[in-house]
Amino acid sequence: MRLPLILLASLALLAGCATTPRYVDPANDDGPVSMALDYRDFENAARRSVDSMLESGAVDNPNGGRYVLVVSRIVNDTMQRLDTDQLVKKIRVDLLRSGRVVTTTAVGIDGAEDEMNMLSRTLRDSDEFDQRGVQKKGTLQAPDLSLSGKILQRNRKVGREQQVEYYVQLSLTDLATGLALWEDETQVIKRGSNASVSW
Amino acid sequence: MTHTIKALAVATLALGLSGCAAHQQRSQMEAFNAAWVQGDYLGAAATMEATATLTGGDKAEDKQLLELLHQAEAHRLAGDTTTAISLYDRAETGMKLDDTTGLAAGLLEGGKSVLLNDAERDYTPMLAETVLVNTYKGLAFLQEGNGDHARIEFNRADDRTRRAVDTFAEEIAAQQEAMDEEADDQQQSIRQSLESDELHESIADNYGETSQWSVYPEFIVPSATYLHGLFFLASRDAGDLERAATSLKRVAEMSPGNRTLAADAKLATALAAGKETREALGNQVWVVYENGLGPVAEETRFDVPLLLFHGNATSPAYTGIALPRYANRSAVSEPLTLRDDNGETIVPEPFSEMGKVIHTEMQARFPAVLGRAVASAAIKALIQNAAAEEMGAVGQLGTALFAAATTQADLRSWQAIPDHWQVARVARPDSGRLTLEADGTALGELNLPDWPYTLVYVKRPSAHSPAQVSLIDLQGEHGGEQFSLHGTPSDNETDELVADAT
Repeated sequence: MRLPLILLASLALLAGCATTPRYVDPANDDGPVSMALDYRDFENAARRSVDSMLESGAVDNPNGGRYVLVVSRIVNDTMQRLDTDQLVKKIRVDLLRSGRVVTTTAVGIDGAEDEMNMLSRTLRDSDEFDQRGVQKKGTLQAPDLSLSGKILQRNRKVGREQQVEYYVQLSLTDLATGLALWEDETQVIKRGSNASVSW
Repeated sequence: MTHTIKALAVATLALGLSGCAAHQQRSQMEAFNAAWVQGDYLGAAATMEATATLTGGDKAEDKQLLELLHQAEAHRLAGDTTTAISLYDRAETGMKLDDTTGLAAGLLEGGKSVLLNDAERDYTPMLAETVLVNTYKGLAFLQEGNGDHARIEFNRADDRTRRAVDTFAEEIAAQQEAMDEEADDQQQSIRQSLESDELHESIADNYGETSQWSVYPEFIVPSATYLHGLFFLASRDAGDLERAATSLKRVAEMSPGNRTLAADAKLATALAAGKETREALGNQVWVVYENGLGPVAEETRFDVPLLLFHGNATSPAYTGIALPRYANRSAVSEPLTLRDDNGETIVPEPFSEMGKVIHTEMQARFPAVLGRAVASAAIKALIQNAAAEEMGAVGQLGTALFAAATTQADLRSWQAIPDHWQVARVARPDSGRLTLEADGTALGELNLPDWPYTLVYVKRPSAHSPAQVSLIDLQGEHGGEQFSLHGTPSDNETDELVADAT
């Protein structure tokens, strides 16, 4: 008689311990920190980089108007499979909001980010389309600035713990001169268990 | 009487479980090796399917780590890089679980090791094996033309090499801490035995001095560090050249006689310093050859003198221990060469002997391995004494049988790794053609793609298996090709290899 009761009580306890899904406020997320880069690290790195870029004046066009930026290669030199686009996207959004820079999706290292730029131009001379709305030749804007970078990871043992250092390095190049107008490095340093690898 | 029956029942059950697991492991490895040396890689993968749990579910990754490692490399050799990467990823998950196992599970594993033997613990790979997991995965990604992910794997391999030295020290410290925790009879017996000169003399006489092994000056898997260096040498990123130079110099220092390694270290240093340009260098081809079957562990059993602590007295006892000893298997004896358009022969030079790598690691870990074996022997001897006191001859006989049956060395290892690697570098021939030869007989012709840095990666476990050749773009911008080139081994050599492998 006592055994079933004990089993039931155990099941009830286990059910109580199960993790239930819940919303997290990204602005106030003080949840556990992993040794890997997470969304909070991307958010912080992007914000600090954009603040630095805007403060430097590198994206202030002396002729007025907005610079056209192209995103070049951001090398993931860490030990994790990261989506570097996640970081770049946040930077692009913040820069666009600043009103000083627009990003082109017509050019990219691995081809146009938005293939529709060129596809829409194949409609020229098609009888099926009202040619007044079809893009004319010479309307795409070439980029003025290129954003490139690297995310580095260096691990070391500190005392009995493991220290994982991430460096988000970004460069803004003036494509007219090839000169880097702005460069910045954001560090994300984490310290935790050395029991296993950091990824 | 009831106690005696219970003790014998527990001993018999433990003995049965221990024996079953060991027998199953041996059968599985024999089946794997039989397929592997024939070049039947999918067949080899099939032999390593993990058994289900008692409830019919899939085992956690750390419980099937050895199977995952064998399957992954077999699929990579069979040309299925996607499956290989997925299996290697799962193996890494298992390795992480193994590292971070909770306290309760850790104690259970430790208890199994001491009460039974190391072979009863979940498989913990050697560090050299963990480094190779990321190296092979890096090669698989390069084969797929995914340089971004290959970079991550080569970074991981490098980090695992860095962590190795700390890991050895931590393993010994953890064992010392465990012995220092409680100074009961068991702990005192283990400590006094491990500190006795007689024990170490017995080890030296029966097992040999580990200081006499041929080892590298520090822990390194030279082939993994070399491929790390090659990847970063080929990289378009200027900042990578320093890393390439560091890795390639380190490998060259470990194999002083190898001219290719020396030339590569010199090249990377010159490129990093701007003293040489990539344009002047022209397109290069590296041939890296994984030759033969890697070392396997064999059991060495012998009696050692122990000092058993009971009450306030110490009494000597002779008890058996079992230690693993690594023995080389065989390399493919017929030399692999390459011939270019001009008839010039290129002979890849050997480096990165796996036996030496394993001995380097084993030498560092030996105090911990010996400590576990002595702890197990001391505890079994104490149990035997207690059983004799409480249950007389029957108890002593039962526990003696239990001790004899459970004294086994952990002989598990990843047997898909080679005896050694070989390497050569040539300027890409204008025609793009290279003929691969084994002992002067053509295995096949390679039509090299017009890439700046091409890796011809050859793996041949035995003379009876075909040479598995991968053409890999070291810059990871193009998908590679993979094919099998068959040789014609003598029957004698084949028989010998199969016999060695099992």
